[in-house]
Amino acid sequence: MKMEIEEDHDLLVITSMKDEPEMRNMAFTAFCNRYQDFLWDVVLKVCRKHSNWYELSRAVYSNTIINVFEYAGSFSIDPKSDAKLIRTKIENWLISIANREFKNLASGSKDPIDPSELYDTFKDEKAVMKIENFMEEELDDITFSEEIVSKALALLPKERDKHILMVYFQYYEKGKGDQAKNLDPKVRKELALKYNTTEVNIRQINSRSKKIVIDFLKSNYNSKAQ
Amino acid sequence: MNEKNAKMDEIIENAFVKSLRHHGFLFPETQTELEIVKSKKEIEEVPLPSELEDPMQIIRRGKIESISSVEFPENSDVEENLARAAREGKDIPDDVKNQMKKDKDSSKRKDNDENSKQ
Repeated sequence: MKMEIEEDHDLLVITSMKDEPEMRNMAFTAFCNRYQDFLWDVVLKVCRKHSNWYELSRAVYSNTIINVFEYAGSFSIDPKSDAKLIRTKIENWLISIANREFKNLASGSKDPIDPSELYDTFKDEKAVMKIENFMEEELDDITFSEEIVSKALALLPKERDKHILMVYFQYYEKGKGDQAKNLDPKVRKELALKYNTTEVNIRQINSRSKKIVIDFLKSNYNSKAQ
Repeated sequence: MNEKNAKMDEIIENAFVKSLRHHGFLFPETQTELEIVKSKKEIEEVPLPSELEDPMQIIRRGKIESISSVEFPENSDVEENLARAAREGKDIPDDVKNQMKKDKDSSKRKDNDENSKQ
């Protein structure tokens, strides 16, 4: 039997129908066929900048696909939306799931997925801009070049230090004040276990690494910021 | 650290996190960041591994809880992925091949260590 349904969103609706296993599996397979190249491309591009990138890419991709199967029903959109908008929203949804899986795998956290959160994790760009304008109007477009970012990270003496700092930045949320300055306690604990050290030491490594990076960026701030 | 320096550090830190997302060091969290990552061209293309082509097989294998616990079937070895890339006319550079093998070996070693502990 061949899946005749055209709309991507309909495939997700059928994938959520657990009492129709045959239809469900077919719809899920058809959906994955449409999005696998996109998902692998983005997952690979991000994971390649980390150690064990090939293994990490495969794990993030696999877990994302499993979440799609489990939580297909958590995706919702007005079915009258045009196909392009539906595709954009589905891509955002997939990357939100991949991001969560990436964080869990990179930090060693076992934070379970909350399906109700999946759809809303992609940020409302207008709201983000509003906060940035409010905080530092003249600096809201500043980003550092890829070369500067790579050089800053290369200053860290150990792969461990780089990993801890990257995990910190994965959980960093702008505008959260002191909360943003610290690693989530659960994640800090996982890192301490992974590196066989204390949570205090993880905090110190993070703080030291951040200072190295920030000091380097400050020295490049005027001349290299784009 | 005085207040002005602390504020400067915060601004730099925010810009750095944004840069990490723009350049694909972290997963994108806005549509603009996603478009930037999508538009980036990889120097070496790495095809989707054959063991990940069938989504139902991924479901059957189950979720991967940690990278060291990754288990892929023997018939979906790195060599097969490389052979497939070759069949499709994709040239995989040596450093990518080495990383694929390194990851695979590292995964096998960790699994063996864990098995010997049990």
